[in-house]
Amino acid sequence: MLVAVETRSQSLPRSRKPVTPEREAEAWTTASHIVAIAERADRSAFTLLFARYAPRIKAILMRRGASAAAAEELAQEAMLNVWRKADSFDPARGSAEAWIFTIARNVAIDARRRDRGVPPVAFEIEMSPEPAPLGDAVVEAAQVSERLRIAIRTLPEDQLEVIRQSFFEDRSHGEIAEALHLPLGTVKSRLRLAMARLRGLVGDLK
Amino acid sequence: MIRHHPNEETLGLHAFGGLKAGARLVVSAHIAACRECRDAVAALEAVAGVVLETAETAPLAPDALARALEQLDAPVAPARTPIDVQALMDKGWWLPAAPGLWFKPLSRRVDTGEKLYLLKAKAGVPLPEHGHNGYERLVVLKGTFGDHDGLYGPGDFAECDESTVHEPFAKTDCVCLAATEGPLRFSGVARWVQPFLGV
Repeated sequence: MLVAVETRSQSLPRSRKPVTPEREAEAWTTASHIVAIAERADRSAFTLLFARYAPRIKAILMRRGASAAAAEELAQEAMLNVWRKADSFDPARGSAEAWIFTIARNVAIDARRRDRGVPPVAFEIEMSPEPAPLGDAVVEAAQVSERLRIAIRTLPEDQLEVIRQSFFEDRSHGEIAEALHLPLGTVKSRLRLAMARLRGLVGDLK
Repeated sequence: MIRHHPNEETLGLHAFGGLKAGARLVVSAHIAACRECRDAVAALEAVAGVVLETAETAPLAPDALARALEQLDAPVAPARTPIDVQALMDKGWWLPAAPGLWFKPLSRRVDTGEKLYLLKAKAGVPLPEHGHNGYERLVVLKGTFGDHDGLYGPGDFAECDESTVHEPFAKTDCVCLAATEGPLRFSGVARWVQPFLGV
C-alpha cells in the first residue's frame, strides 16, 4: 500500500456523505451553514459564518502577537477558504468548528511558508496495509463538541490561555513561556493538564 | 505495522499548527501512515475547534464582510508544484556523509537553522555515533533501521533531542525524511565532512 503525503497543509481527504433529512432539519448550526455553502454557494450562510468566526480568528492571532492588520488579513483568507473548501467538510468526520479551526490553522501555516520560501514537498511511504479499525471509530462529532464545550467552560483561564497560545504559530513551548512570562515547566504542565482533561472526553466517545 | 509514534507534545504542536515547516512535514508523513495518531490529532482538533468557538472576538474593519463577499468568486492562484521526493530518491545526486551513508538536503532555512533532508543508508551500515543540537524528527520512507529502542520500518517516527546520543544501524537499505532544528554533532570521521554537507 502506498500512502501519499503532500505538504500542502490540507486535511486528509474526506468522503462526501449525502445530507440526510435529519441533518437538514437541524436548525442554525455551523455545520448546516458549511453544507449550504457546499451545496448551493449560499452567501447568506457565508455571511453568518463570517460574523461568527472571523472576529474570533482575528482575536486569537492578535493574542499571538500579530498586528491587527495582519490578523485581519489572515482571518479574511481563512474565511475565503471556508467558502472555497466547503465541499470537503464531512459532518461524519469531525465537528464543524474543528474543521474551521483546521482551515484557519492551514492558512496561518501557508502564510508562514510563503514568507520564508519553504517549498511544498510530496512523497509516498511504502506501507504494509493497516489493520482494520476495531469497531466503529467514527466519533459522534456533535456529542463530542457539546461535552467539550461544557468541559472548556470549567477549565481555569490560565490553562485555556496556554492552549490559545499554542495555536497557529511555530513557537515552541519555550517561546510561549517567554511570551507569558512563565517558567517553561509551568507552560508544559498547564498544557498537559488541560489536554489530558479534554482529550479524555473525546477519547471516551470512541 | 507502526511501532514508533511522535510524543504528545509533538502531536499537540502539529494539531495546533505550532511546528516548523520541516518538522510538520515529517509528522504529516507519519500521520498519513498511522491511524492511531490520526485519531489523536482529530481529537486535538476537536478541542481546538471548541476553544475557537469560545474565544473572545476582535472587532473587524467596517468593510471586512463586504471585502470578503467581493472576493468569493475571484479566481484562486494556482498552488505551487510540490517537490517530488519519489523522483529525488531514485535519481540525482546524494552527498556522501560516511561509508554507506548519504544525505540529500531538501530545504534549509537560514533564519531558524531548520533543515529538511533525506537520509539514505546501506544495509548493515552503522551510522556514525552522533548527538543532536536542538530537535531532530524523522520518519522512515523505505527500509528498516534499528537503534536501542528497537526497529523502525516505513511510517515509523523517531525524535531526538539534545540529550539523545545513539548509534543507529540500517537493517536493510533505508531512506528517511528528517527535519532538524540545529546541526547534528557527529563524532569521528563524519565530523570532518559535515561542514561541507550543510547538515
